Amino acid sequence: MPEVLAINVTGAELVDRDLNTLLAGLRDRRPLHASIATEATEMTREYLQGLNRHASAERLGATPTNFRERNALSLQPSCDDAAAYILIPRNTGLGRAFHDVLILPGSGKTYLTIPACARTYGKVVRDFPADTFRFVIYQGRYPGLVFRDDGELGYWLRRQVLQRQDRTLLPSNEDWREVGRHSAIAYVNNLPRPSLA
Amino acid sequence: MPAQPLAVITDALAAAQDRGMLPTTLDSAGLKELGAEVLAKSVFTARGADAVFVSQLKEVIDQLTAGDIGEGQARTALWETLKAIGYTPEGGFPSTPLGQVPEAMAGTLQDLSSRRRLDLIVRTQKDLMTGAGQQIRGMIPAFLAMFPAWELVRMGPVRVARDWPLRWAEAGGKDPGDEFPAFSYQTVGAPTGMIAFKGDPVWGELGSSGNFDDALDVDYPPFCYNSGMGWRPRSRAYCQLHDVTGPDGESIDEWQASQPNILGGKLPLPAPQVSLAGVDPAIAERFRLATQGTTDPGKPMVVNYSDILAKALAAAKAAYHP
Repeated sequence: MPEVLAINVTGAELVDRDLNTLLAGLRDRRPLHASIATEATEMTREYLQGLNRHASAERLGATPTNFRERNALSLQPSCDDAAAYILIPRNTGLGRAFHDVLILPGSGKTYLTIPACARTYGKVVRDFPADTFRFVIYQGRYPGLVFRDDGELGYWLRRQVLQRQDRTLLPSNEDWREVGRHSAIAYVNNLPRPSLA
Repeated sequence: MPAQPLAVITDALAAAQDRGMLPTTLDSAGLKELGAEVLAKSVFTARGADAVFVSQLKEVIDQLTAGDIGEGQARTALWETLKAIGYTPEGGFPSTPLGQVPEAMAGTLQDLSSRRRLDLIVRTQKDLMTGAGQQIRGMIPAFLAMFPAWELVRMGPVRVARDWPLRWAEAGGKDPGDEFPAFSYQTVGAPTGMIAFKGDPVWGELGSSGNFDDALDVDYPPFCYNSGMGWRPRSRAYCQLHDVTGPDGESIDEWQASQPNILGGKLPLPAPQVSLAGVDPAIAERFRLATQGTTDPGKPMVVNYSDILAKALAAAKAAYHP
């Protein structure tokens, strides 16, 4: 014979109030998504500012252009009802985090110029006075531009450059998930709720 | 997923497309003698063929802010335009009357076609549009509700950092207190404690050329040339933790309730003034007369357009409500 247990639940109305507040706070998802998008964008900016990858500049003994650090400012948070976004303009070159990038000369141009010394790093041929360079072919195979005055190699000339995908240019998916999780928890914790006192 | 990435372009691009040209009747020689800051700040034209360059400049900056081209491509496009127009550092634009333009030394900042000058123009314009875009986005209700304040932080390294805590104090910003290291503004990304609500007048004061000669007369970063400074959005919790208040001690909600325009996504007008410090006084006076600005007795080299703005607004209002 089953025993009958009488259970009294007290405070349910207060819990319901809390739950309702929580549900109300999540009904419009935009503030939550705005919060996640902003935190994730700031984390990504900090990541880019801390990358400190100046291998080319260091190899050539040149001053870094801080290209990626400056581009960090271009990132923008965005959101709608469905999701949080980090918007990354194309000219930041960060698309390379997700796919290979094939760079071709602009229209009417034959070659890309790849800086080969500190004097040319971060500059284009036009930044120098006319007749600064002369065309050479190294080892019968590799075209380049050398300084007329001292013969130093200024630029390598290439018909195209393939940059391989480099996922480390941006934070990992796990890093983004983590910041999203933290942001969502903080959002829920900060929702105004009725006192249980 | 919706085609959302276009939105980032829309904000910066909207800001880029909203800017106008500096109205002036000064001739090229007069403009040439103005300080480099004034010259570089605005998209303006001296005479004749300059208009082609200005038009191209606007187009190039639009493309840059849209993410379609990079800074190098922008510089090249402007350089090619100058060449096509026939600009030379020695003679200026072909349409400029002979002898009116002081000869510029090739490669210097006075040479419009120099890398340094084109770099300054492109970077300043890009930074301005980025800052304006960030401000517009920060006023979207969801972002404004969750992140009611900005903190002024270093976003990029500069050779010599300006004294931003001093500027902050002069602009009327609240003392960050001892918990923030005094020189944190020199470190990229470090919190500085220079925090104020979105729409607080301190931002306009920080970018006012009436207060700082190198300011750009904007109420958003970079505030002045090559500052390397930017905004970090700050949450309600962060504001409460650091006791951030409005100019008169308002809480977040009190401040936002007192600023219906801000809540509605409308931004306050930046200070309508321009500094001509360092410019030949005679030319500054001609500039003032040409633009019909006024000067404060204590700041004779700061031209103020408040009266003109007030009259224009009154006229516009009268037109709608006769």
